[in-house]
Amino acid sequence: MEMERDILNHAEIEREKFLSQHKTAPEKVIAQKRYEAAEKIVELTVKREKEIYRTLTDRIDQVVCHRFLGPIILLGVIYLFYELSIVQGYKITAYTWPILAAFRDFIASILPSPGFVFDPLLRTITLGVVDGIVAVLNYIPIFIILFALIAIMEDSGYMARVAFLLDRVFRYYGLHGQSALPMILSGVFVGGCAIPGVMACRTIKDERAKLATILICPLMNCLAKIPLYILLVGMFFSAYKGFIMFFISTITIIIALAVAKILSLTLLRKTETAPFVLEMPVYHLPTVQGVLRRCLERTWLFVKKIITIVVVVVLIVYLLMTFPGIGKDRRVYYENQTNHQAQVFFDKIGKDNPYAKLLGGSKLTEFAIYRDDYKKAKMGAKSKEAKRVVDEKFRERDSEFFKIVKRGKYKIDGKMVKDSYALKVNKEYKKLNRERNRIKRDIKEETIIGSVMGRIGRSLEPATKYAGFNWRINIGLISAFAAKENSVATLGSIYQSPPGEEKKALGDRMKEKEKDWTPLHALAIILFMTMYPPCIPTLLMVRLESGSTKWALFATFYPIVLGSMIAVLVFTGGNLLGLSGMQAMIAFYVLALIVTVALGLIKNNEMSEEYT
Amino acid sequence: MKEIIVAVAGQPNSGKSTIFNMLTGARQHVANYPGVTVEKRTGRYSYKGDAVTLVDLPGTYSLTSYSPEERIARDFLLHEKPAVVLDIVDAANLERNLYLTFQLDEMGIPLVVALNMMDVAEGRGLKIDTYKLSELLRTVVVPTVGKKGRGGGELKEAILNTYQGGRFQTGYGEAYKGCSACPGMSREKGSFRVDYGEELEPILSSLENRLSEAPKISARYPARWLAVKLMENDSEARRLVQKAEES
Repeated sequence: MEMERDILNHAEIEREKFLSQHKTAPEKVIAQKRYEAAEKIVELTVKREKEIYRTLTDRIDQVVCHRFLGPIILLGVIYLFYELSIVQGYKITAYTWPILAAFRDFIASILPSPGFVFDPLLRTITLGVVDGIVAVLNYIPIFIILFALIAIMEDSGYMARVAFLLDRVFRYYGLHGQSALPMILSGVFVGGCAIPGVMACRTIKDERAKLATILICPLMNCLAKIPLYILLVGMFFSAYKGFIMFFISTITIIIALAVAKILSLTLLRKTETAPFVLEMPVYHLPTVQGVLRRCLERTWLFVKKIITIVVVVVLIVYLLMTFPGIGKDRRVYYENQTNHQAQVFFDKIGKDNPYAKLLGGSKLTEFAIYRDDYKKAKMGAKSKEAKRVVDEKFRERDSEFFKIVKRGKYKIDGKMVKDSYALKVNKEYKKLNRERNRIKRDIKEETIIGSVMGRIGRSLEPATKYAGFNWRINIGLISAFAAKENSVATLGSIYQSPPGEEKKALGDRMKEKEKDWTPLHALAIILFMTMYPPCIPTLLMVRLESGSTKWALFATFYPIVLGSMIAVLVFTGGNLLGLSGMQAMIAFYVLALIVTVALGLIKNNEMSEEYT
Repeated sequence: MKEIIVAVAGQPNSGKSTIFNMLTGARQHVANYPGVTVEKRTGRYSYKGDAVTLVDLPGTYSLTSYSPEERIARDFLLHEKPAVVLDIVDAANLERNLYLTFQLDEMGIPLVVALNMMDVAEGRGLKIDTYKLSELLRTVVVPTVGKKGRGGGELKEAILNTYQGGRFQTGYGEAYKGCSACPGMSREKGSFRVDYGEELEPILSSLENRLSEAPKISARYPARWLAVKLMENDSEARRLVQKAEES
């Protein structure tokens, strides 16, 4: 079939001819003719009955897009947005959490029951996955508010004004005016969440700016990064708390802008940028129905997609942090320890105690579960009446165990009884339980250290020592991968309190163990945390919004590389120059600022220019 | 019962989604277009015994292939071949919105224009002669106010009529009574064409002729549209011609 090739050649020749004859591209003439036709049609069909020079929209825009007032109003709107979605949303999660907790408890109740110190594998794995899902679902109230607010901003027409105002700065970094909202949601001001942030990138029309924004959102300071900051700042910079928090929130945006620029100059160079057409639509009052529909739809889409993937990913990470598990001899060792402690318990309460027989054999485990359940139920019951109901329920479940958990004070035939045997058992069991928890913690710690993740943490020490991280910090940081809240929790179990000193704060315990630490160590950890790779739900979101696994993987690895480079620079560099923690911080800040400003001056590679 | 597929096109801020909601109510489904993160919204309604499925195209200013949104909109029209295209036009910004209308028209799919946000246009002191517009565009033009739910019934009627290729019979309501009598209400009378000028038109018609002689191409794509696109040096259009050759 030569015909088609002929046509293409023919078209090519005609184009060339046209270009040389008329000194202008046919597409320009085509566009111009369309505009002319549109103009003519409007001329023939539209009459201006009265001249209205300034519409309401124009008058609003005069204030909202004002050179000085505009940014101030924008700041106010951003603050409101953040306050309503993140702050108030988190408050609502306090009400929705019990529902999720009840769901988790329900799952827990149908799984094989826990052991005295060792839980069945099926139970731990399933609960690990359920915890992961529940942790994601917990964000739903925030999403609903967030999506509703975004819909209001879009429908009212204010979003276009936001883009207009911020585009002046952002375009120097290959970003788009609309990149602002995702970054704010992710936590520019310390305390956001990258999941809604990445999701809000949908509104960005420019493909390159969209990808760049998706990739820098996780660098912002999400709420889960905060506990570690607070821990370390409290340990080493307690005199300069406000200053450090300002440093943390501004350094992230400085670095993020630089990253966005570098990405758009390199990896994203070939991505399309849409010609920047910014239309200021007329302000509309959004309709309740329209807003509700959009926000519920987007939430549902999110829930549906995230749940299916979360199950798989959480499972994998959980297995990596659990397997291969502790060895057989260690298991025996812990079992012996447990038996020994149980023996001590029985010796203490004495053979004459009528409850000694009751708790013999497997009954001890049964009692342990009963007591755990009871404590939990009691904690959940707020009112006196609710507490009474809980008591009644547990009395029915096991009247003998009930006597023990009530410390020997209970009613028989309406008369209060003081049972000194039960009281004794209660007291001694408390000690045993403390030992049981210690053993459980030891097992958990040993499992993590021996697990695939833990081994990685230890094998990394020779390299990470240049950043000032020892293997304990490595494990803490690695465990944060599943969810950043884990970092402090893991550190908590690594730096365990010696028996009898449980009241000591984690910060003090860490200081005790890491006597040679300086503020430089803390600074390096903080900076690494600011650049920490996104948590798993965020990564899934990145995959969803960027449409490719490749970008999700990239979003995982580049922050690790960048964070390591920064941590090494600050720690090793600071040590070589003999800087103090504060000096190193200021030096790094100035350096980052210079680099970012310089990058902003590099000309963007504008693909769109061809078309204008 | 037939299933009529209608693509809903329009520039951003033309009130496309309000019209979409007005027509379909709650019967909507949201997914993503394959391979991209652009939302694909579909909705359905039934009218006079026919099931109509509306597919919301991404809001675009034009139908080139510069952005994913534009490509998606264009590909859908080219390959899925909807029975009717419903073009939502912002009455207050008619001139700019027509730019897209012309391109939709060129793709040769029966077109219905919803002249939306009439209230805003009136509020600005604009009086639009919808008869004349309809006559000039040779397309049904239905004035609507999506936010207030005005013009929904007329749109459904216009879509069905356009699908059936018949004349648009019922009136637009009191204010626009008699419109059914005006010419150009049906596409039988030929369609509107943008005049690309004396330098380009001869080239376009020679290209058009050659394209209609190639059976594999003319069966799939409207020749006029393809001719314009080739002169615009649109890489996607060139690819379409090449692909037709290989098949």
